[in-house]
Amino acid sequence: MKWLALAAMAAAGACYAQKPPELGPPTAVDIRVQSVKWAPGGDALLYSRTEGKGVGLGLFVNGDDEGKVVLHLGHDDDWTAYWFYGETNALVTVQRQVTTTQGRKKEVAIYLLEGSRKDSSQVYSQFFDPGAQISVVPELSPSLTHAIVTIQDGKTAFYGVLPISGGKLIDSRDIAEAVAEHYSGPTWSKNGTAIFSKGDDSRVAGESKPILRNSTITLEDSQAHKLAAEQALLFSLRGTSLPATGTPVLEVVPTNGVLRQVLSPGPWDEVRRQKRTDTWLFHPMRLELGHSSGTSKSLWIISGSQENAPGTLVAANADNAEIAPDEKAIDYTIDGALFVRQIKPHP
Amino acid sequence: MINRNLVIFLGLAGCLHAFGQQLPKLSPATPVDIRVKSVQWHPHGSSLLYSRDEEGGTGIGLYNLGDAEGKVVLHLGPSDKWSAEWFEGAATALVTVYRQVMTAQGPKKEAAIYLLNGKQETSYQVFSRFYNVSDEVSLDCELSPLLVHAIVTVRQGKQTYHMVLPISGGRMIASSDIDQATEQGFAGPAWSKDGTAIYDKGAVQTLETVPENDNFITTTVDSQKAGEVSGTINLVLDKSAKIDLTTADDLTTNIVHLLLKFRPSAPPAGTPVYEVVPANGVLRPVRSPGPWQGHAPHASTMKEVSHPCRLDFGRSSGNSKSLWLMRGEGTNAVGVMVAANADSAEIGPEEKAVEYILDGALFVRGLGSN
Repeated sequence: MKWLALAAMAAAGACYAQKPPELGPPTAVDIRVQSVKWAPGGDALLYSRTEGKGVGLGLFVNGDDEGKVVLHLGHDDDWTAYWFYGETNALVTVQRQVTTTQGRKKEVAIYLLEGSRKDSSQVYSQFFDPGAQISVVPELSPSLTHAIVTIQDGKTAFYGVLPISGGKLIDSRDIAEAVAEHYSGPTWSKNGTAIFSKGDDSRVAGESKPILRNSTITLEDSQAHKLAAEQALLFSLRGTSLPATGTPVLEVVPTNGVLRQVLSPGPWDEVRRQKRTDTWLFHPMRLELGHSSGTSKSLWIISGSQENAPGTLVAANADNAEIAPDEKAIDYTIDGALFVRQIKPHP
Repeated sequence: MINRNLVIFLGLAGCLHAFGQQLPKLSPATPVDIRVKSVQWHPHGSSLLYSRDEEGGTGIGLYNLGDAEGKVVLHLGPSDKWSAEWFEGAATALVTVYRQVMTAQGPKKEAAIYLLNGKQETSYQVFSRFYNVSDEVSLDCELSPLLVHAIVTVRQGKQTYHMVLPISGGRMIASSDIDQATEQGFAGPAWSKDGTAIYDKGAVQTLETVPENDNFITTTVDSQKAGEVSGTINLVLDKSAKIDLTTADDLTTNIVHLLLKFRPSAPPAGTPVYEVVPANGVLRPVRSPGPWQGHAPHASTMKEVSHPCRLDFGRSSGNSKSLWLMRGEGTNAVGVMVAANADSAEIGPEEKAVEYILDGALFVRGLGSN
């Protein structure tokens, strides 16, 4: 009797685990969509779309009625977007050729895109020689809308701090001096503040060297990165270790970019992402009506990775798709129109 | 023994039949806009006007075939009552709006008209007037079949006056000439072959009715000629039949009053009539240039068919409403799939394109000749 009960419970458990994902109704987000990037928490997505005069970057937060383009860029602008981990905000770096009163220039601009306000603001803009090789490396706080951006023009480096209070990027001389004194960072404290320390900097020593040739690596949708990868990818690996709690370190004051000496509050504890259990896949279909037929690429979401696992039809036809982190939603495009369906949490 | 000539004849007939049933080549789908609620094709099928939900109300958008996307050109409030009508001779539409507004004099009813220009993708207000909230106000727009020119009859209770949308652009002009002519028993506008508005003492037919039961409207039409009753027509409207009315939501479920108006033809060429000068709304006596000769409506050769499909994958299944364009009837019918799933669809006039809506997203596919 006991065995029977156990077997029944196991069978029930198996059925429970094999329940197909439940989806909310589709929400049409925008049209002419080219690329999509989910926020790390799966609560929002950033997308690019073709516009009359260039590219629009839009934001959609789960539950919204539609997406909204918050930043308009030119056709040839080279842009990269980074999500803040704990927010529905993103940072977008842009490099573009512009004509100024001083002639042709390369502009480096940085924008803050805010999902809650559905708006963007320029936080940095600087003009360089048109041929300058500018590297822009933003490091984003894992819990605050706060970032340290290193902008390097040859041997000259600018350290900008995006303050949590909003406004423009602040030129942080303190960070420049600390780096000159061989402090390394930023690492992120458990409070989300940036820490510079003389700890064990395991950055790869010496000059960056080409480690990949004739390969294609796509990084952050950046055309420039793609081209770089095709020629010779310069890679620098960083692995700055996190100072232990109580260690004397320099903390960037998140409101003004000034460095202050503090005892380390301890390292940021990485949020463990939910292990993915759902998978999406396309299945070609042949649809018939009388003597006539047509084909489609139906999109399914299934529990687990086995093709025979129970699944749910997401769309009768779709071009591409992606499940959001933490399996909160699935996005897909049909002929350039972007749709999102919420995935109801597994009970 | 089979007659060889008969086989050849049958083969040829089959080929010709298949050729006759050939379907158009569909261009790739263009997404026009999202959150779309309604679509209204231009009479020649080269543009469409659509309404969509937007934050804080309704957007009215325009899309011309070949455009990369649609564009909302007019923003209305969530409670605004509106209707749209295309000018047949241009990618331009007139939108009539009624809404409650708060003015310095307290709450008022506003009646407004907007001109939507599909080429420039812009809109501007050509008429606006405020009335007391309790006033019965109606704007009856009559559009030229050739020019961007219209005559609007404004009814405020028992008072009636006329406005003219001049071809030169700008706001509507009050036409006291038309007011006087109608008081003197002139009827119109009828449209001349030049697209100008004609007033004369010709025939006008109107009917007013109330619903008889849930399914049919039965009524008596009085046909009038210059104010004189000349005959009676019994008219039965089957409510299950499709009637395209832009703001028909209330009508289909709760008809209390229906007004049908029959557009009179302009008198034959040479008849003395009054013509509205399209540039300024003044009436001038002229010899009728003859009535507008509308093009015969393009005979439809296809119909859109929604076909429920069951999609299977492993142990799972789902449903869709596939959309097809079909030509021919019964076993001879041939079709082409437009979309694997669509909620609604309509082939545009002259079969230049088909529009369909899926989960609020509006798509258009052009129909090219094969």
